[in-house]
Amino acid sequence: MPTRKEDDRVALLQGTLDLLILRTLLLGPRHGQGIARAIQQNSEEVFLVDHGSLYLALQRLEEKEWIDAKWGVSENNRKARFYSLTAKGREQLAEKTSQWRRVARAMGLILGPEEA
Amino acid sequence: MFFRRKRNPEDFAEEIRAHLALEADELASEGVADPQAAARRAFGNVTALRERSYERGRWAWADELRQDVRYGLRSMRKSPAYTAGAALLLALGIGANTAIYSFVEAVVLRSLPVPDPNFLVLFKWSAKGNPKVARHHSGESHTDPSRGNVAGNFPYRAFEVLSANSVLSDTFAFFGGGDVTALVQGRAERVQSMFVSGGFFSGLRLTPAIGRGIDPQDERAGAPGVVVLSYSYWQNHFGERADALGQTILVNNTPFIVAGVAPKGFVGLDTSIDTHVYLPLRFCQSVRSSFANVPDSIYADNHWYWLQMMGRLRPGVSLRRAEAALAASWSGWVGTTAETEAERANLPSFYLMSGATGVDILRFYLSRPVFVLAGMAGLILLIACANLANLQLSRAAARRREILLRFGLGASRWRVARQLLTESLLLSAAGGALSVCFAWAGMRGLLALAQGWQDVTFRAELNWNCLAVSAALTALTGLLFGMAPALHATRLQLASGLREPRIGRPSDWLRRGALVPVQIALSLMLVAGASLFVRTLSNLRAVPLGFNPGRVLAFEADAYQAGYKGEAMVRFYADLLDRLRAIPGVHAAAASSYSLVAGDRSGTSVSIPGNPAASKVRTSVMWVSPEFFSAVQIPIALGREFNDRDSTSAPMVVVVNEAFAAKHLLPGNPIGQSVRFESPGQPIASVVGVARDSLLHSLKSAPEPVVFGAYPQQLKRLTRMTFMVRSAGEPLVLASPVRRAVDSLDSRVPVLALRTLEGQIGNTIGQERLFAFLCSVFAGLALVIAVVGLYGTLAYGVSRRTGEIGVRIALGARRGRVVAMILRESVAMIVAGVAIGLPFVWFSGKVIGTFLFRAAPDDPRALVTPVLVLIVSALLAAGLPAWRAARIDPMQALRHE
Repeated sequence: MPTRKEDDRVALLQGTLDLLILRTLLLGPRHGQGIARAIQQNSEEVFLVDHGSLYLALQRLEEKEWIDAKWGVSENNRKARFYSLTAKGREQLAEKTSQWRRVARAMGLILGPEEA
Repeated sequence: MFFRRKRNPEDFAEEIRAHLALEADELASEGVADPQAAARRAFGNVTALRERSYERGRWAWADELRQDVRYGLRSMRKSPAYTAGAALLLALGIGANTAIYSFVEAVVLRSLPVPDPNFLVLFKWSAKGNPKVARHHSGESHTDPSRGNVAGNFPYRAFEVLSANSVLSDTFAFFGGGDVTALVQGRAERVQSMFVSGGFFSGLRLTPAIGRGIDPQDERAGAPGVVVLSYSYWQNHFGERADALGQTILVNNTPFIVAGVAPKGFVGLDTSIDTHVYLPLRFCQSVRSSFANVPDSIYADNHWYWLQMMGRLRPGVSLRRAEAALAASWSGWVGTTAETEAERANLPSFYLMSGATGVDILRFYLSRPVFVLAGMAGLILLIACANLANLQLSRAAARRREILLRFGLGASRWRVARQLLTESLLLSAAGGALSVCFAWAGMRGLLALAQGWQDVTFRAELNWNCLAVSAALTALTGLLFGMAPALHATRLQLASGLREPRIGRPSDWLRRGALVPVQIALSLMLVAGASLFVRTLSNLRAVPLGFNPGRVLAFEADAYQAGYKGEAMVRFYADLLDRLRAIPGVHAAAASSYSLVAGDRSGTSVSIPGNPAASKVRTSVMWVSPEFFSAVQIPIALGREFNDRDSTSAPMVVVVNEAFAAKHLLPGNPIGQSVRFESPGQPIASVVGVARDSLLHSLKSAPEPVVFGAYPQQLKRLTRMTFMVRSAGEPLVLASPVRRAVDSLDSRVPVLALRTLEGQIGNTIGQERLFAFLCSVFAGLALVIAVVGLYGTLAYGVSRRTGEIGVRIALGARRGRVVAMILRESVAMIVAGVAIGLPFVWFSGKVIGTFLFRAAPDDPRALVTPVLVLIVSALLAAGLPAWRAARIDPMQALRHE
């Protein structure tokens, strides 16, 4: 009875999730739950992040040394692990952002202007 | 990449808890009911996430292997008796195979300890039968199935012709001179010699330990005689001191100056004999006693085939190319040496063999026997594996619930099978580690047993190759016997398996018992083989010799090597015989030119005047001392034996045996008839006696025609003699008196090859002895294993079917019927085993046919004993569980749930 594999879904979002996390951390360090909330809210509830995938992505980014982590205390005095961007992370953010914008512009050109 | 900044699992767990707390807070502030539960729902499967995080970047299989190993070790510790027994069984099987492999390597595989042995080639020729152009042949020849009669000896002139051909980078010649007497610092000793050409040491690329090797300059006529010692000889006699160089030693009474020492580890080109001294080729005829009285120069005689040759291939030149070039030179030359049509019709053809293993005689004679031994050991290992597979299956069946539980918890079949396989591999690893001791002991035992087998020094050792083979065997056996339970486990069904059935399904355990017939079949092969070898040995021992070897001490003395010649030698030997007879406890003493039943023979050509059918016939000949026949107790049927009056100046007389008289002599009274020797001078002797037939050469050949002559009447060929002393009591007691007697006569003549005649004859059947002993041991072992396996399977089956049997008995079945039922199943296995085994026995009988003597492998009567032995032992093994089954108390059985 092998366990179900969720990797197909995750593979698609991996690249985008990394970008979303890095962007969210640009404005300052956050803990994991905060990042999830922020992405949800800032995307006007379009992106509902699966918390499991989020933490795996955070681990990946931490291993690549694009983000840094430290235990701290949250606003309401709860213990939480805070993540922050490293210099390398900032570079990656800039690169991935420009990539994404290029892709989005190309899509826009192909799809044509929005039908009214 | 793999180990960089791995996340601590505990830390991650805490982070998740913190996340859930924060999420719950926010949800609470949003007014969601039961915020903790909602937070958990939003999060998803915490455990799965923790597992995936844990598995990231780790090699899962390494983790699982560690788990399997730990689990396996734990279960091994829980049943120490089973583990010890299985490990011991495996150790025996693997150890036996490793020990025999060390022999295989020593005999068949090992190359010469020289640089680049694969470039060496050995010169050989082949012909149909004996080519007439080779009028004299000093050396060994045998029949190769694809080429005919082959040998490696050439005339000296051929060496000059072939080395002129430049297709090889080096060509060198050598001749194994046999043993010579070396007189060093006053002590006389028998050593093995080899006569070599100037290119020998350079051709083999040998670097001397000190000094130099034999050089081309030593081959010039008139150059001083030099000798190169072997390393071990230098160690023993000169203490590895450099001042050995320049010292003089006497070899067969000829002085030689020590010029160098061969490198350590090089013991000559013949793997069966350690060479101690290397001498220049041009001294061969003058030094070697058996060439001593050859009238012509063996270097000039184009028909004397004696010299062996090897060469080194140039890089890029294949063996075939070199062979073609040399064969052309050879056939051009040998054609010119043929003088008659008969000689021209059957000229030997040249060919090359790889010289990497040196002179290949040993390999030719011993490779098949060694492989047969390896086959026997392999069978034992197979039986052990089958047995263990059976046991593992039974144990796996006992763990059925555990395995099915693991399936239920989510393990894959492959995972469980892997774990069972790991346990088997651990068991075999334990056996493999233990097997090193058995391998060492087995090798030592084999070396001791193989003493006297072909008179050879075996250089078997437990080197890295053997250990590698051992490790490979260990892994293989682990896989072999682990496969069965692993595969079986993966076929278990979930639902029906978890319930413990009261009634054991017979088909189920019978399938597990399928390996028992295999074991029985393999054991049958070994038992049949053992019975054949034992019969061979007893047949050989029962062969009538025609003389009495009991209580006879034999030794050899060579006065020629000490400088005696002609009449002086005759007097020396006569004096020696007198001194021997004077020793207290000696009944009789006699001498002959070679020993009876030692594998030697000497032939000559004779004619019977007046009998055209007996013209130039080859016959065996032996030169003996007076009263030889009464000393060895060969009865004289007619006439008389030799006495002191048959001296050098007296008329020549011979004694023939009955076979010779019947075959060659004219009808009528043999006494007084003439025999003409076809040697130079063509002496004619008259027959004075006829002896009863006796074995001359080996136990396996029938008595042949022999002519006996008085040794004083054959001075030309007289050199070494074999002396036989019949003692009143234990012959070896006479060893020191005999040595003293010889020494007192002349201390320069050493006593060689002191042995009892019975021991010597026993050594000629050393191989049969070895086979009979080993195969019997293996057969016994196999029988024990197979019988234990049968017992185990039946006992287990009975215990599984206790409930069923209890029911049967409660319903009225008689005890006898229960016993019959159990026995029926065992008989089925035994019959199946014998049926499977018989074709294999027939096949293996064909393989070992050449090693048997008067024991036909396909004789049905030969199979009766082994089959009976097997059936009786198996029935005995089955009897105990059957009897126990009959004694099952139905009340107990039914309560056992």
